[in-house]
Amino acid sequence: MSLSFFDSNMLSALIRIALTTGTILGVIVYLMVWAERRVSAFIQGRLGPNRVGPLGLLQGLADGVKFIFKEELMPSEANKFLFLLAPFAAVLPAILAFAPVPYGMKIIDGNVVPAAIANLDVGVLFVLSVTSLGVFSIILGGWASNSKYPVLGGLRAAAQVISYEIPMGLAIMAVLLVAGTTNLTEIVQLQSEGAWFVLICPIGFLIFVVSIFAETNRLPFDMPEGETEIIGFHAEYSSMKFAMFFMAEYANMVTASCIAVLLFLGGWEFLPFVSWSKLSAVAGVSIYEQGFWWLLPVAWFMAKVSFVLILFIWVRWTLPRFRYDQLMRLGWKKLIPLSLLNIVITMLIVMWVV
Amino acid sequence: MIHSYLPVLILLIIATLVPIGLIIVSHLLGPTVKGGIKEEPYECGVPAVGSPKQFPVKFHRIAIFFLLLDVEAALLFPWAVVFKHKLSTWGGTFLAIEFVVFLLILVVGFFYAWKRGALEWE
Repeated sequence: MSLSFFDSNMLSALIRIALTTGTILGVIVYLMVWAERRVSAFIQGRLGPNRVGPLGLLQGLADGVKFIFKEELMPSEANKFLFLLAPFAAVLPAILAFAPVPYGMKIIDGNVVPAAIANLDVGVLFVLSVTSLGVFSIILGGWASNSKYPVLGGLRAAAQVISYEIPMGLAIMAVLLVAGTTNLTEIVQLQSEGAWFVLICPIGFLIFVVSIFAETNRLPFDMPEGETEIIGFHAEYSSMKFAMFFMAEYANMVTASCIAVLLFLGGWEFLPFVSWSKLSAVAGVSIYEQGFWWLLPVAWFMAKVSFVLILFIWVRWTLPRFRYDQLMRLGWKKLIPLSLLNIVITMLIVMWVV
Repeated sequence: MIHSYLPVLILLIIATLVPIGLIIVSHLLGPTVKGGIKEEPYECGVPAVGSPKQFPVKFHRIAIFFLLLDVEAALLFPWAVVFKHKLSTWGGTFLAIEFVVFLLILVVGFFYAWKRGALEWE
């Protein structure tokens, strides 16, 4: 398996897709939904779901089955085609955006082969463009419902998502200045030899993290879906179609966390200035070249991604929700000027220091 | 080079089939009991009055600003990628001035809109 996993023929591509989407995206999304409820409960001094299966791990499965067997409602006024297209348009980019994300690598005959579905040279741009397609599901879901609250909720959510896309793109641009490539694997390799990019542009990391919280509609920016307080764009959705919006949101969170780790936190590299290659020399085992040792960096990468995902939950129960005008002010008047300034600072660092 | 996009194509097909499958399975397995006021638009219990397709014009303004700044970001990405590689041949000053001139044209418009109160949300 190990050999064909890194080949570039049709069969190994299928193996990579099955393993990546199934294991990484599927299992992590499932565990994230579970962790969300358990960690939330622990922060609030509750136990959370702990009855279905060991540690409540099968709760998500039970909920999924329940969603499938629920009645579907469609408002009589709704535009039927667009109403069905909206959850479809949420899930498709959420899955597709994971294509160029590498989670490990192996050196075969001196060539670096990343463990990813596809090794794209335009990796960063691919993720940016595909995830930004997710806004269509929000605006379509609200508009097709043809009902006042969802239409307003959809517009509100769409305005939020497109507003925070600009600082996110500009924060990534600062990383591209330092890296000089858009290939995610090469960006990680550059960080293995020198400092992690979070040390070179810390402001960029801060802007990026704030922006991905808003992009994935998470607290403290969860105006799009504060269901109980202000009605969101999916008020008219029920059963599996409703669940699909949330599946897409959690998948987007996983992708965003992976990108944050790859761009700023050194990807699968061990520590700043201490790469796996250096450890290989000390341990006497070539981690990237021999046998199954390449799984060690993969596990380390997963640990970092889990940390960012736990941060999502932690922030949710630490910060109160922003008001909508505060959200817009933060986005347009603080983050965008700050991210432009960050590009200038990073440019000067690249010119004089690096 | 093009064969590295083959897995993306396969993933696109999977990503198309998964949501369609979920919608169909849920449609087949869920009960459908028609009738009552179930299919009325959500309106907190009172009958819906007027067209829902009206919205404040400030959302449109945000969309216009987004276009402006996002196109700017799209044009700056190539500059950011080649910056490091061209530093020795073209010199940092030339590349920096190029960026600052491009940015100034944009930032002037952005601050004009800011001062005119276009970014206020009230």
